[in-house]
Amino acid sequence: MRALEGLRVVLFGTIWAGPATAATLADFGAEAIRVESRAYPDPFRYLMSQDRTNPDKGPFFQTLNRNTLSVTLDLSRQEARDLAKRLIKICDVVVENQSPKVMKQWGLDYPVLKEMKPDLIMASVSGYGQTGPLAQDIALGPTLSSFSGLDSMVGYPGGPPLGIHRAYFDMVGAMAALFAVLLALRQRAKTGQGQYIDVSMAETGVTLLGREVMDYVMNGRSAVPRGNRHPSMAPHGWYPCKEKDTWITIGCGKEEEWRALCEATGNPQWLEDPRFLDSYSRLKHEEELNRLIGRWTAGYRPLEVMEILQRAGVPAVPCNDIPALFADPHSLDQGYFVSLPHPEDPDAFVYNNPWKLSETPAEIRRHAPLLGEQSRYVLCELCGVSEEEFNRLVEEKVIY
Amino acid sequence: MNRQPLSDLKVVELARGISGPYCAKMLADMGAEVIKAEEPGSGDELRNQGPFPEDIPHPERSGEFLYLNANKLGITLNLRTSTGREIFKELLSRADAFVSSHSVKMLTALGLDYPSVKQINPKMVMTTITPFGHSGPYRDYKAYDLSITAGGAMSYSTGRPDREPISTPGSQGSYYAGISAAAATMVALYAREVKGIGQHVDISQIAAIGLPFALAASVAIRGEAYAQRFGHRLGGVYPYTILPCKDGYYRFCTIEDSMWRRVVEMMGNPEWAEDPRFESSPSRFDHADELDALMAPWLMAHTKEEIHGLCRRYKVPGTPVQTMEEVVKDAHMNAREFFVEIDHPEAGTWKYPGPPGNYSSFRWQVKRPAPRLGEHNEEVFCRRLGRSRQDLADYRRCGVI
Repeated sequence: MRALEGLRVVLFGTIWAGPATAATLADFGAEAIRVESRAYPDPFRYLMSQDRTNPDKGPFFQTLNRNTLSVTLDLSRQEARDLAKRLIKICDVVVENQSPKVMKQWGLDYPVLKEMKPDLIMASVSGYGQTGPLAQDIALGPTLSSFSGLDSMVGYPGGPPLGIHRAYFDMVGAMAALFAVLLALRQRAKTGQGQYIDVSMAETGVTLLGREVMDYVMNGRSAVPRGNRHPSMAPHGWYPCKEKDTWITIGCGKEEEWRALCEATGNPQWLEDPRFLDSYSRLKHEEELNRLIGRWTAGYRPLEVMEILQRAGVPAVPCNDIPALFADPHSLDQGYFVSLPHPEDPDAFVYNNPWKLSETPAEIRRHAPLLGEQSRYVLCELCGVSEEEFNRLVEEKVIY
Repeated sequence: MNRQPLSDLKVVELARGISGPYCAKMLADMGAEVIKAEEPGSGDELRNQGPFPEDIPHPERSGEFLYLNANKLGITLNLRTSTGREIFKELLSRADAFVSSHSVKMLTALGLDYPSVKQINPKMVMTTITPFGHSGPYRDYKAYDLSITAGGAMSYSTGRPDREPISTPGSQGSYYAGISAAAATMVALYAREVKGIGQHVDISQIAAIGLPFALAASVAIRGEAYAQRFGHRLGGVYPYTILPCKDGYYRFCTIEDSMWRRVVEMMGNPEWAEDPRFESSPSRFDHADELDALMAPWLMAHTKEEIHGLCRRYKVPGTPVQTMEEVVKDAHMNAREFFVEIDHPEAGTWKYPGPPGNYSSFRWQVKRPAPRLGEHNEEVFCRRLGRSRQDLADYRRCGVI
């Protein structure tokens, strides 16, 4: 059974947050249509691609946009905008992650669309939100990471902020947008009414920094880098394994976990060691403790350590890079990655939808669309554009 | 009237810490009745983690607990007693959704695994959040927050290449799992609304955080180097980095050479920038340490705000690295009225983060502060479940609540 069967979503957006939202809705059965253009192609179509002239070889794009359809419309043209409106009229949801003024410039903002379709649900996902002094500022995942305070605490103890340089905040925004769209869909099912949702990635990100906000509010303290240390737990950290740059993470928050660690590593003498008798003393002697544990872990591979320690009841998980995650037994069993052949990449793998719903599971049904792959289907079959009209629009680069 | 979209929903929460409570909070904030069941005596462990005003620990004054559990009703129930379990199942029978972050083993031992819950309430949407999910070879494995971003391929690219990677601070592994779980729960709640079915929403914290970081699956699996860590920089481009300035740090996110030329212009066209080695991004990256040193004098002569003002003018992507103080005081966030004040009878009045989205059809609001331990025992057991005050006293004496 597909949860979102019969629903149609149209996406105006590129790169990450908007596309991730649309694709996830498609994972659960919605028909999600990307409106894009050769005039300004989605940069993700080229990211990490081996061919910078081909918009269909991007590996990032393949995971992020599976299950979606693509229609090309150059929205700088009035006729394209009119067609976009015709498409929106037969959709349930509009998702957009453009800079805040763009949809309005195109005449596709909520007040206009609502008049045309009163029960429309529209979600805008932007870095800073639709209003406020920074609404027009450039926002990328890492800039939001710095704006929100997260970067200020990423680093080694006593060291400078190093930051997160990858797009984490974009997914944070997508999660908020997904929650919002589904909430709105449920409400529409009950009341017949649509609505508009303004999601700010920065604000959503700050809702995920609860402790740090409260520590400033209550005590005037701003969080600083503390590496992998924990204020009350020891051992708690990363330990080197046999091969270079391989690691295991271990945390012992309960005395029984510490006992299990001592026994499983063959070090019962640690249990009598006055430096390690309770978590407070272990914290005070953390460096020595970490050195001792590291000497043990260095004799094993990460998966071996995990198995030995988890069997004994010690929380321990390896550091995974993507190849390690791909080969991991649990990941294989659970299908974290799926084979999804693509016309430009027959051996392609994509990262699966990570949620497991028992009755309405996610399904990876089709590969990420080639640029404009479904233009004819969307415009002719769905919007009623005739064959002649379609050809004219292609020639005049309105469908482009 | 400000009718909240989930005001028709009853939710039961059996969770401690961050992920489960954050997920349930998103439902509570939309108007759902969320009953949070805590163990008598100590309650949710977050009550003891702080932060506390003036660093004085108090189970009713833990900032993070107060934040994550506003808008909820709080009861105590000892699920190790058979009576406690019976009462809990009664709560489940009248609920629409159930959020739990207990382990599979624990839930099964309590008779609260999904098949058992489905028997009690076939239309239940049951969301579980655990490190590895409820099935698979690692389903009984344990993990603290530091392991989530490690296992989920996020931390490998964080930190310096000559040292151990860094788990994402701020408990991001746990928080991100919470918001993912909320979105996943809404898929199920929508399906329940239109198709009348319940189901199990099984969330693995590690699989969830893997999504943003395992995107270039094909590339990495083919063995191409991807997601290496380079400390304060991103690899292969320059300047995509955090650098010190007069009063803190500034982050640049310039990828294209055209952006670099604007940076150079912004800095007053210094002569060193004409060096042909610095023309293209990959080449600049190869000389990144040298460039950091060359840019330093100009950066150290300017504050974060000054640099940001110039970057905005020259359309250079970048932002100050804000401290939490700057975030809470931020003019933009406050213009949008993002932070909210909540008054709590024990903890006092404090500012808290607000909603992760603004909706046109209703106003997000906080209707009640986080519950004191067992605060709503009478309201829930007597007024909703029809127990008498005498029952309540007996439960208390026998350690059921």
